Amino acid sequence: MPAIPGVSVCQNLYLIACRMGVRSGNWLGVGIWQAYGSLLPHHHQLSGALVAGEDKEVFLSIRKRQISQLEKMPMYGDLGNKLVQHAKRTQNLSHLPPYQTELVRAVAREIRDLDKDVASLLEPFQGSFDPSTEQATACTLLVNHLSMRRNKRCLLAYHRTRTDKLEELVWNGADILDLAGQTTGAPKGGATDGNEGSGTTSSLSPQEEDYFRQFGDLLALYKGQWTDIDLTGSLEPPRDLFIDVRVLKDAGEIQTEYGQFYVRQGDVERLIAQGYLQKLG
Amino acid sequence: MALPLPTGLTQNEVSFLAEMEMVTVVPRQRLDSIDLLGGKTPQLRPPHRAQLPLWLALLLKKQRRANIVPPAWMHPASLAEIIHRETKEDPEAFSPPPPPPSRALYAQPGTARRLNHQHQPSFLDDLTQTTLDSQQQDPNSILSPPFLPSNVAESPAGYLPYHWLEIAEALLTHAGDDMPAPAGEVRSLLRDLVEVRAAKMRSSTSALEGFGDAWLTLRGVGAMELAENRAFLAGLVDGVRKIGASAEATRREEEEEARRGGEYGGDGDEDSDEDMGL
Amino acid sequence: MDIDDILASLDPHPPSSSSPSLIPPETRDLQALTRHWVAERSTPELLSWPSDGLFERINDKIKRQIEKVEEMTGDMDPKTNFALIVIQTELERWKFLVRSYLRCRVGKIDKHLLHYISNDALRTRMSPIEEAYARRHQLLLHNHYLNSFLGTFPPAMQNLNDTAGNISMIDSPDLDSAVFIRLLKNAEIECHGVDVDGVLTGKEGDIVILRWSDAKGLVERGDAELV
Repeated sequence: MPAIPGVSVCQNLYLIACRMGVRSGNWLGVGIWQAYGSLLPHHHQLSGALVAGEDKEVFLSIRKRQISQLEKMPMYGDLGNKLVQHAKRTQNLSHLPPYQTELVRAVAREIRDLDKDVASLLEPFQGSFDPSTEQATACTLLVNHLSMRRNKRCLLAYHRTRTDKLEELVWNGADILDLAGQTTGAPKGGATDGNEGSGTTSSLSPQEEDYFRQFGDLLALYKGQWTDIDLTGSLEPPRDLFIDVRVLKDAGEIQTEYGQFYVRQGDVERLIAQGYLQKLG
Repeated sequence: MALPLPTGLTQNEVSFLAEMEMVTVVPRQRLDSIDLLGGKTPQLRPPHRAQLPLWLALLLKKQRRANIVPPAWMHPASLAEIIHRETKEDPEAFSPPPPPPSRALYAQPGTARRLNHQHQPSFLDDLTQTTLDSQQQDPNSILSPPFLPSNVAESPAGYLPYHWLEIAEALLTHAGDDMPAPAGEVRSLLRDLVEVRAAKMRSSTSALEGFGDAWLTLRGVGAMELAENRAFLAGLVDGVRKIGASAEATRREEEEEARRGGEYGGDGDEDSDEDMGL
Repeated sequence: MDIDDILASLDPHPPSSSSPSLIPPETRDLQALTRHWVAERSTPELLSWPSDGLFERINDKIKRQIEKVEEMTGDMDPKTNFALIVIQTELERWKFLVRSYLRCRVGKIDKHLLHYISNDALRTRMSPIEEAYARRHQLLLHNHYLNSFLGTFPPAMQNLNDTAGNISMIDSPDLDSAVFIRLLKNAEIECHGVDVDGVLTGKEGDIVILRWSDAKGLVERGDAELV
């Protein structure tokens, strides 16, 4: 299972756990930890003293029921996992793969369904739910809360991975039209694809296209504060801004800003490539 | 991603940094002072020596407007001495860095003082607007590479400055004819030094693995040697930490408990529910 | 040759090049810029924006220098020509330092937006421009999430900064990441390790690899610098 940082036990769950009469909740940590593998971060308050004495019977019965509930959890996590796998793959790609519209909808729907479950579970209690007397319900609630939060993390991770990619493209000076044309990996700009503007094949969701434009505007604003620095310029240290050249054949008059004995490399690169000039030492 | 580079300077960035080191040049042509962002350059009048940042010295050298005086540590005798120290005197450690510079005050000859530890109030303090903080230690008043005179003609022989490899590489490539000995001889001594020190770098990291410690001192290491090994060293230290994270957390908890046990007589589990900020 | 030249040629160590109390302010700015750049490039978290107006001053200087280059470009006198090459070369070096520094900072801010804007102490590490950028960026992201999926959530789950169960949903930089420092004075360093913690007795000039969380205090006091 891919690790997602920060999937956490919400405060409500602590409340439930504490009311169930178990002081420091180590059992809760262990159970959930087992169900989630490496997903849960280490949390110091979960690993306090182990329950002992008369609490132990309560502990064992709750834990047994809890584990049977937890076993049902993968059913809820599957779609979220798929999203995270998509995000992981996207990180290693140079382009942006198509937006998973259906998957995103399904994961969001799962959250709404879980929320409805919670509401209907709590409904009979009319606001007076007592976890210590309703342990089975408490455990179901706990599982639902965890699943919802986990799905939320998956959706956030998936979208953030993609916006990171979009931002990188903005930094590199990409145009929204460049992105629209890159979906199928076909060479763009040729005479063959005259109708690339149809929009149906874009790998970006409409929301992502909006975000791309908005971030572009924000970056332009930020860069505008440092116009003389040229923030999108090279991040490699400057080397050999000027070079010495030897004239190999007459190319007429070479006009550079700084005269002809020592020239800006950028000004004469073409002439070097064409064999008029030779770069010296 | 706004900066597609790893944390820590890359090798190219380290070379760039080394080009700020001051070196000594002997001008072959007159050149008036130039008003640069980093201050005015000295007037160049052959045959008087002057100190310039390496990038500017290289620019002059490439145009045959000046020769570069190699720093004393690059002389073959000095390099041989350093190799002797690295192989015979202390085969475990890197040879020590240059001693902190000291010099006599310009107006008071004979009163040598450590450069970094004298802070004389001057009119510049007002200009740099640090009047409030100037009583405290101002980090900017402490000079360190590349802003120490470690590669000028007068810098002491027998010590490798922090940017030794980059300086040597630049001077051998662009000012080979200014070397005090055939460039090939200097190059071969430097190659020996690189090899001896690479072996030390490897053995120091094995010490780190052996003890599982999370810190390591590399006195005398050079900037480029560090840049070449940075990803590996940082990865090792971070890796040791991450693998041992839960063991470390448990150890700390036990230590904390033992401390609290000592203070409260072992009855310390009362407030865990209230502490969760519910 | 004037009197200064004669004096300078008599003294093998011109005072202006080595004595800290006589370093011209322009050179001090270069040194400070370089230090800030190296430090920012070397740490896992955002460092404080210098409050002494260093970058505002540098930006003005660069602007003026560019204007000067434009004035000089028309002049084809060979002497001016070489000075122009030197000025341009130096200018590119400064522009690179400022650019790399600023982009390194934006990179760190982007990565942990909520971390930096939702805490007063961390917020003050940003320049006013950076803070405005970070707030706007977070707003754009939040809106994007709302439009893409968050908007369909139950209201209680729509926020991004919930810290339920004492575990924050706000990602933060790993302050225990390894950094490299040079000690500027002798110091005792408390180091945290996996198996043991210990006190490292460091000498001025030592290069030490350790956790940023252990190095931070030394660096802030000016007893060490990042390399």
